[in-house]
Amino acid sequence: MSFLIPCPHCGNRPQPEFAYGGNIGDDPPGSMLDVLSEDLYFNDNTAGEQFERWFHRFGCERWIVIRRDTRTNQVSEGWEGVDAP
Amino acid sequence: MSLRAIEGAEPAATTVLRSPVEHRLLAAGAQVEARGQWRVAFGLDGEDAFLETVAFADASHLAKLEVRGGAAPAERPDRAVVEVADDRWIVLCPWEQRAATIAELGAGDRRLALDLSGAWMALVLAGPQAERLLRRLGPIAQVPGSGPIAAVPGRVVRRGELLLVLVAAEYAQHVWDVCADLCLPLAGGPAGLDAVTRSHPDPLLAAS
Repeated sequence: MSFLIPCPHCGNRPQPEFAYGGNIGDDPPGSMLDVLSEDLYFNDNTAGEQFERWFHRFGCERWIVIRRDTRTNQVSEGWEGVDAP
Repeated sequence: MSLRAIEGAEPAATTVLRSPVEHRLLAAGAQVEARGQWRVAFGLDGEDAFLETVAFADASHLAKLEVRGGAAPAERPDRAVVEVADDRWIVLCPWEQRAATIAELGAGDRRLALDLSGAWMALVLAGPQAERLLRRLGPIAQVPGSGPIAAVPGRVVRRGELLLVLVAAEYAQHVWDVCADLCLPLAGGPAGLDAVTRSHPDPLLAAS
């Protein structure tokens, strides 16, 4: 199923133009030796809104952050960068 | 097992050390020669042309030292410091300087300084499109910094115009293959470290 992603540089673009870069976790750091591995391999599996990284590979070639509802694929906002706003 | 158990462990003088991506380099047309204990690849097909856009080179033959505790190790022209955590760093230096560097870094109130060269793979990104390749590899917010590189944990530091990427050695072939795929549309590809240092002189990389 496709949906539109609001790229801050290119406007609303179809999802297949983007590559998914994972969700931005909100777990407290420190439960693993390597925080980076924890963020990468232990996803929150949220049913609801979450912040996600997407790469506009067939557009501006920039990383953006969006807030997406995983139940409905509704994307409410998009920001430039790789960290949650 | 504590890392202390391998402190001071040295490869035997006759041991031949190989990059985890040596067969990828050979497949790309590289020649390989022994430099000290390491087999180092050079002379890859098309490497000079790749360097005009973007090239990636294996730097696995650098010493990679795990340092924990105390103050952050100082950067030097022939030494790169990659921060892994608040009190943990990977220090890269020429292979022949590793014993002296371990002795220097292990002095004082340091908790640990030991050679973990085999645990890491160092990759150099070079050329005017190197930043673009890094963006394609993963969401790294800033350099120096850390984040997913080809969907595995990676660290990046800058060496002049070059980018030095560090990933765990077990992911080396995967990261190498992803780099090769992502370089194709940019008219880039693999290069030997000799070719990279000819166009981008660097005391750390050139000393090896």
